[in-house]
Amino acid sequence: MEVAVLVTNGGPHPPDKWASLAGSKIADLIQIDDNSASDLAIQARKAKPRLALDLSDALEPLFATATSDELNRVNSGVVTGRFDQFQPDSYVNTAMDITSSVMGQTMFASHFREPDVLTVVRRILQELILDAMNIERSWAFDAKGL
Amino acid sequence: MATTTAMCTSFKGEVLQAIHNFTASTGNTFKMALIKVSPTGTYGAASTNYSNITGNSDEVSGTGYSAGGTTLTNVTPTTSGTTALTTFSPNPSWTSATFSCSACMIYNSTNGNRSVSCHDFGGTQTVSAGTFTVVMPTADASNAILRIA
Repeated sequence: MEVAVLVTNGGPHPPDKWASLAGSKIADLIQIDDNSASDLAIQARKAKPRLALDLSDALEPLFATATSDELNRVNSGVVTGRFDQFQPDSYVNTAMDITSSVMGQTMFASHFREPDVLTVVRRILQELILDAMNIERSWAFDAKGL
Repeated sequence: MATTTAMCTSFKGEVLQAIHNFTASTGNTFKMALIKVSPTGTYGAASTNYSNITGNSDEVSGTGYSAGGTTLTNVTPTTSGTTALTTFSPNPSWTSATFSCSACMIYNSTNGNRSVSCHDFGGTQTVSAGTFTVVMPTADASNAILRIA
């Protein structure tokens, strides 16, 4: 039940913070026995932090697009209220493709092909993309004094 | 004084009395209040109500923060293995915000502001004309913010 805190001064959270959070949350789905000395465990312990970084790098442009698109939707009048419906599906689908591509090149590929794991990954990505869009929208309306 | 991350003991009893309902859309309204740096009171398992915070004048004040905190969005509880769990989504955020805080309390504003849980932030958190987001842990049987195992 430990929560984390994300703080950014002077504006909304930038895309690299969202991508880093997504990368670490997804990588944390991999559980490795800290007490194991097997070759596989040693390899996995080294690979896990690299995976988080690779995911973060790969997802950052997607978060940048999602947030800039949301800002444009507010500024162009497509979104007229803070509580208008969000449209995250295309970003989430792209994020899933990116994640699968990154995972496919790692020793964890088979784990991340399991339906249950993919469901959790999708939930993580959807939540963070929605958060990013919501905060970007909130700032846009704050700037308009609405 | 300080805050210790814990599910409130009073909440555990109140769950058995059907006082709290976390169902999405139709459940109770839960809120997150932020606790200031170096609070007068002690918050954790023994906390029982949001009024514990206000009674000690320990709630955060600052730009972008309103007394009572922010409303959370319920996610209907599920089970995973032998564990029941729930979370809140989206993650609560404060924008155009300037304040410092050290912890938070989740409470049920529908039913007498009874406390649910307290969460320490591990030190002073300060935001200046920016964005402050509390990130819920992954909603699974090992990490979800509220679990009954």
